[in-house]
Amino acid sequence: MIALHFGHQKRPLLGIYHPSIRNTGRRAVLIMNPGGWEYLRAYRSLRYLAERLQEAGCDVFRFDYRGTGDSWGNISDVTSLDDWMDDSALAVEELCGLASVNRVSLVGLRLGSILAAELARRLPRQIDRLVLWEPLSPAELRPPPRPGSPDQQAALALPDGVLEGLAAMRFGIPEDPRRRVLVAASEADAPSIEGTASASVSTISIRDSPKCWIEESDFGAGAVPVPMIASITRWVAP
Amino acid sequence: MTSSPQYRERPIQFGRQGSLLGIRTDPLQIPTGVPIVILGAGILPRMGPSRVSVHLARDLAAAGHPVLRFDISGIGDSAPGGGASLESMVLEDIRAAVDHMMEPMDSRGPVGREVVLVGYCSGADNAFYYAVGDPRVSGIVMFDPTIHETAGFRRRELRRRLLSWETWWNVVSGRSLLLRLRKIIAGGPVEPPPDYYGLLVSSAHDGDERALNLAGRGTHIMFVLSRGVHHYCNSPEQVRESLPRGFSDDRFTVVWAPHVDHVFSEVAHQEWFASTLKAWLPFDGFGADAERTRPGPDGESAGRPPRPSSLPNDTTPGASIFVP
Repeated sequence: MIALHFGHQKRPLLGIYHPSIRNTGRRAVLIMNPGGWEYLRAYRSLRYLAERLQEAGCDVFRFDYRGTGDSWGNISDVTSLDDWMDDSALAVEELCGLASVNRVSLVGLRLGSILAAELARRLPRQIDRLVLWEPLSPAELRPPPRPGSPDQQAALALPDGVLEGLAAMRFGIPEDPRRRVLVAASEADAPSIEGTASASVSTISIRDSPKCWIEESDFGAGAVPVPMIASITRWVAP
Repeated sequence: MTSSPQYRERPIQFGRQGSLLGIRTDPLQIPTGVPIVILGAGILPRMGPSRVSVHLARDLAAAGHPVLRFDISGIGDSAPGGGASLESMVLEDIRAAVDHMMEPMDSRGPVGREVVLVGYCSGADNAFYYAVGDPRVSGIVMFDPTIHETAGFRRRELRRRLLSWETWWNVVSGRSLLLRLRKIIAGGPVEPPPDYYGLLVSSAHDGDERALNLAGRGTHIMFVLSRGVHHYCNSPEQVRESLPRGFSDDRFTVVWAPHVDHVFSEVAHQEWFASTLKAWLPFDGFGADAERTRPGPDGESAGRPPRPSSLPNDTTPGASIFVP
């Protein structure tokens, strides 16, 4: 594992690179984070996913959008959805350089799945596979709560500019019959997403799969959904 | 290494075979403040709840302090530990972080001789537990640490309940009996094992001994208690009560902050915490010309600048500075 800064010198983004254990036949995978408190709760699950993908022969890159995690800036510096889309595009470029590839696969969790789908639309030639893991529905997006509100933690607490961008976005799987797409969810909450019926789209539903973005008891993090991560790894790995 | 107008930040891998991941934030100029190590909370990664550690580290670095926030083994992005026990693993990790901060970032800075530990929740407990074994730790800031139950806590809690109309209504209406039965049937709340969070918690007696030891050698401690502790600590006085022999009026400061929640949800509270910490930090003049010595047997250190006589006035409603 290698921790590094990438992007613009004055606006550095933090990335964690997990180089594949194989020398040949590798696949590059970019993991795209959920937002708000879901990011912190799902952190160890996404690390677990990265390590399983690495063991399965993938070069994996995790990164923090600006204003989140250890990347540059505050959340107030994020003025539009395009800020995070630009950061994601830089991450694709960085991973291509690190892994010496031209195309990468995207695995997005929750908000990350929405951003991944949008990124695939914007960079059609560079994205070969797409995993939408528990994608957000439009109904789950709501403005940040008032300060002191009891649901402060429960909300995604996304910046207004990002919410506006998501509101204007068409939620759905980008149309491209050449690109394989996996929609993964726990059975009870299988989302209805536009484009799921396409022949190139697979779905995984694992009953009662732990929701790693929700805090388990008062431990501060969500339970690691081991079977779900194993399924995603099998689907993505070369 | 990348830079910004006020600080420079870089990821580092250090410790046992480079297994620990941290983010080092340094002043752009030669450091003038004591190095600081931030210990995370529970099983959360190094950025802390609501990114409080990120903001704090950058704020402190802009004020002249080199800062390291890092992941304990097995947490965040640090590799799993190989120690014989949880205790030895955590202590080894913290020592590695302190060792790292004793080295200058580059050829400009001085070699450090002391460090301040800042810990949240279980990170605070870990800092307190570790400090006794490392004389380089000259200060500890503990946010929402374990505060042992005292007779004073029970007395205040009883008084609160007796004065609460809700308590009497529950008794008269039979609701309290119903609640008890429901709790018995449900089997009680899920209790994590004592070491679940990487928690190194001293018993009440051991904690008192540790406090006595730390105060005796001159270590300054600031307890910051948010409303997140009110279910086990209902007064700033409880800190003194829980450390009957070890509490030091000269070295220890208790800040009672009911306006702040356990996870620093509001940016204003993070800013308040940073300001409070900077005002408390007792060490200035960390530059190459400063006279630095290890604490002597009387706890004093020759050449150390005087501690600020008071913290700034806090105008945030609901906050009080309690200096016993």
